[in-house]
Amino acid sequence: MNKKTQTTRRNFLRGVGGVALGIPLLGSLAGRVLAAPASPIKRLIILFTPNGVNMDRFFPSVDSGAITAASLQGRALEPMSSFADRLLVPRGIHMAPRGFGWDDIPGDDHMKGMACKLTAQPTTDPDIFAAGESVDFAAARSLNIGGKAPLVIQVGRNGNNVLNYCSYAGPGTPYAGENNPYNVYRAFTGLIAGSEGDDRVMKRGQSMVDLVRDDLNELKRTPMSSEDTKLLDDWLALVRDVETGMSSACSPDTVAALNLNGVDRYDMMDSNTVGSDGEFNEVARLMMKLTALTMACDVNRVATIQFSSGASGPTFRWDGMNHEFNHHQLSHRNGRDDAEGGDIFGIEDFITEVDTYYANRMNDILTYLEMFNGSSGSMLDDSVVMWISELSDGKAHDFRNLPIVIAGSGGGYLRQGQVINCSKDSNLMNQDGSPHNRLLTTLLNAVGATNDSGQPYSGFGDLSYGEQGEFDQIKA
Amino acid sequence: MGQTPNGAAHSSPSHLDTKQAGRLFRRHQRWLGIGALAACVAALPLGCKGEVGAAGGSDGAGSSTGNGGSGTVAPNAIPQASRIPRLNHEQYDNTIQDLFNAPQLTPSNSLPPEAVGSMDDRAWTGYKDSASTLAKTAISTPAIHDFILPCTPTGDGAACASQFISTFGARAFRRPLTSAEQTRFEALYAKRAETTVSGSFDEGVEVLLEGFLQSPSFLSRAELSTERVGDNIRLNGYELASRLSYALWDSMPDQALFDAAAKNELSTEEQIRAQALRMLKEPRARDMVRTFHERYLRMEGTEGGRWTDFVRDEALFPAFKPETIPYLKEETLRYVDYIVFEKQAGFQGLLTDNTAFVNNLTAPLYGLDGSAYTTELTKATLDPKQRAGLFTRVGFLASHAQVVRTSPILRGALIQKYVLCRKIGSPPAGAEMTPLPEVTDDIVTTRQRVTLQTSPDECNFCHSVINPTGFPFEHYNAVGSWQDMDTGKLVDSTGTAMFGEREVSYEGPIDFSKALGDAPEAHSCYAKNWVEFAFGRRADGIDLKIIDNLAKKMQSPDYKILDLLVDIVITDTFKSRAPEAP
Repeated sequence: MNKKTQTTRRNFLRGVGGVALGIPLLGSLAGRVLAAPASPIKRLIILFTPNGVNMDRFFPSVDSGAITAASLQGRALEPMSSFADRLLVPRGIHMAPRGFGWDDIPGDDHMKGMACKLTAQPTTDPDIFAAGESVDFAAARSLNIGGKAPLVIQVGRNGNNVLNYCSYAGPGTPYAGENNPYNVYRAFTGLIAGSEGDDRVMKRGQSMVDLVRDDLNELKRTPMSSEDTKLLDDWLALVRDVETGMSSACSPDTVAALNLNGVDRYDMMDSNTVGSDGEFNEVARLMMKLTALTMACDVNRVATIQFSSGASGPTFRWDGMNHEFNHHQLSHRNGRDDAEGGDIFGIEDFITEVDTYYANRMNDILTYLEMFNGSSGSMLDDSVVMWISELSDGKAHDFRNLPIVIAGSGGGYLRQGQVINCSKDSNLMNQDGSPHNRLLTTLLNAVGATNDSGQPYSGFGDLSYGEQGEFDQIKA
Repeated sequence: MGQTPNGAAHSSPSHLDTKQAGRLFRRHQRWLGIGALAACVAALPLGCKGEVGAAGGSDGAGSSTGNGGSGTVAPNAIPQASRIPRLNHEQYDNTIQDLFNAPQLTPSNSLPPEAVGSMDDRAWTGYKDSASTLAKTAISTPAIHDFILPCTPTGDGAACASQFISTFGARAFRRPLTSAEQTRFEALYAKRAETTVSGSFDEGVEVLLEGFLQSPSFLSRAELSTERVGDNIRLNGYELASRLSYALWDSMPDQALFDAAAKNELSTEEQIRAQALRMLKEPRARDMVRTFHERYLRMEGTEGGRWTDFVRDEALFPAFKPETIPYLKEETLRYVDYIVFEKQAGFQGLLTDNTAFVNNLTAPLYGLDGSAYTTELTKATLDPKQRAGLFTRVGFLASHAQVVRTSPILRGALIQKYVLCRKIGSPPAGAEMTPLPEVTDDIVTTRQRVTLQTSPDECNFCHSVINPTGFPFEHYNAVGSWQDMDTGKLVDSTGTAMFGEREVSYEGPIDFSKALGDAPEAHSCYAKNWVEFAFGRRADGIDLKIIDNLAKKMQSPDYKILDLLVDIVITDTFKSRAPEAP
């Protein structure tokens, strides 16, 4: 489809000529053509999945020590075997605030799993939204030029209750993920260096920027309350000049190599259709590519991709799966959204199929990041990719021993190729002593994000539930 | 895709894992040495007893855009509210439809969910993309193209473009453009050779449309007048025209309103009343009343999934099909439309009428012959001994239930929180883990099991208020059908409920609906929801007096819901805003 026969200087991608994307392009660093950036650009990508996992077959088969292809065999993480030596699986971490009603915050355990996981903040009445920003927003404010918001994606249907959000722009301010791949792609239209009509598109974009700015500034000339003044200032901050100095990595070749065929189909498609089960798989795959493109073009350095929403989920009927129940119903192991009736024999295997599907998507993004040069190794090596689930065991709505998989070391900050027990006394099911906010703190520092005083984070989230400090065990 | 499916005590998914959760919890109790009542422990939730009525609160049907309302406003003062409220999704869609005369467009489908507060990156990207898409659509759709263009271009098209800018601009901004704005848009047209492929007139207009539709003056309803009258600012004619149109149509003004604004004919009470009466006869008013009740009944918003995302046990309830679910909202809203516009009744009528709109799927749930109906909702008269008003329709009853049983808690909580405006906080931590007791020799019916489940003091603190407004509906099973028996025992749907601070005894659902329809607390709550909807802000200060007045009028069964709407928009408060805080 993307017949690339000529390699320009900007064509930094390895093996573009005739090689279909999706086939892992790996091997030595020698294959990367793009000049390494002077100082490493660190990136943070979070994959968030709902409803927990099949704990029996998720983690590597060893509870601590080296991750190898052998220890991934037969596990949900098996699709990432080729990255085994760059995975980090911290075990025994529990959510803080805790679930099961052990901390006095409103909402049920699905709501807490959604609202607290990336924020490490308590939920608040009346909407059960988190009381503070999520880690992706904190990272983006520090890493992105101009501090702009992270790329937040929701694969599946948008909704507006607490179960639909894992990202928060601030206290009580959930941030809806974009669910239409075309809308993510649109950010690149005309902006890709050397693409047709880019000059015209830029000029048109800048005309709009000028127009909106004039309108906002005129409104600002009227005396307004401090709240309204803030509304106008916040709006103005979003009206940014059209960027002209797009990264040289952002070429038509990049787009071609990532193979975005099919993205056009989503142009103007309504949000509910885009979010339907029938589109889930295609959208998920495109979003992985678009996240990679976003990173390669340096449009954003932080991304969160949330699949589906809490206590929900598509019915997986693709890639050889033909499930009868949706993900939430599987996670309850009785095929229902409620707790009536017994477990269905063998249903765990279907949960593992879903877990494996998500592991494949993580493998997608790792493979794509691996295609681009970083400061010394690949873009992946400079970055941190974390997959975290809303819950551990879905049926119990458990908040302990969370399933977490990290790839990329943040330029050498994190250990690689290891399963590491992070619990306070090696009991993986502990409900204190290893709060997940310390993991979020570690990640922020791994990607070089600093707090508003320009200092490394000493703690993230609400420390009355979590703890100061990092998980030193997982640091290189 | 069950988002808030069928929970037990508090309707959340995890409430349902009662057996498993109960086991887990008991295990942890032992580990942690937590006391036997730990399931409902922790701080007692505030606001289950008292705090009733019109003041403050975040539960208003009209508050989805999150304007104002601090609860500290002086009794006669107009509460502070934003001078630049953004169109909500419904208003955005309606306004685009009216601007383009294109009812088929629902562009908010591609926007992120509505949110409170500042514009964020995702929403702004959405509005820009939508503007671009709509501009393309308008130019490539002959009917829209011809509707919005007032002239045929000649020469370079600049003259016609200018005319378009002033006519379309005045409709998009809902006021005439300033000369600076006119000039700005003319300059945008003049640059079309650089910003479009062909530089044609149509492409130039497309750029203009893209500009208008992402302008803050289009996306927000700015109220910029500064004319001081007494303690307040009097809105100008165009601003009042917009207030009227968004209150009564949830959309932009029509030409008659613009003309009245231009001629300063929106100042006296009589002028406004005449406009309101005219406007309430238009189809847009029926859409608005529908939208209002979608919010009043929580079909929209964070609890909206309850009406659409659920399952009922197919073996137990063979008459209920998944295809029935969309009609639950529809039959409810069709009934409301009938009460408000056809029967022209008041609140009492809404709560007691035994007319329904049924189809082949819902008829069996009412005990009617499904084969006598098609899929179309058709007027029917229900047995007055079994059905009276809004909350005895299968819409409310089937959506507020559990997979295999009724839910006095879901039903009771909706009545208390949204029909009686009682503030009820979130359940205390751990409440969700409280299992519904198993059936025993003594504890058989859902009512008995729920009563036992919520009997610990920490639960009962709220549930003594919630449950009794749900018990009257025990005669309707999990799909809204009448039942005399529950699990082999006679249903008990009598009781005593708290309406505000009053205890009200009832003999069953018909009696209860009548009492609720007559209840001043329910009148005040309904009026409060309307005031917030029409004013686009949390009710406070002088709004509370308006609500009291409306509630008094509602005591008369002859006072129509339509009268209430007119009475809101003819108030002085409707014509004014508070001066901005320093």
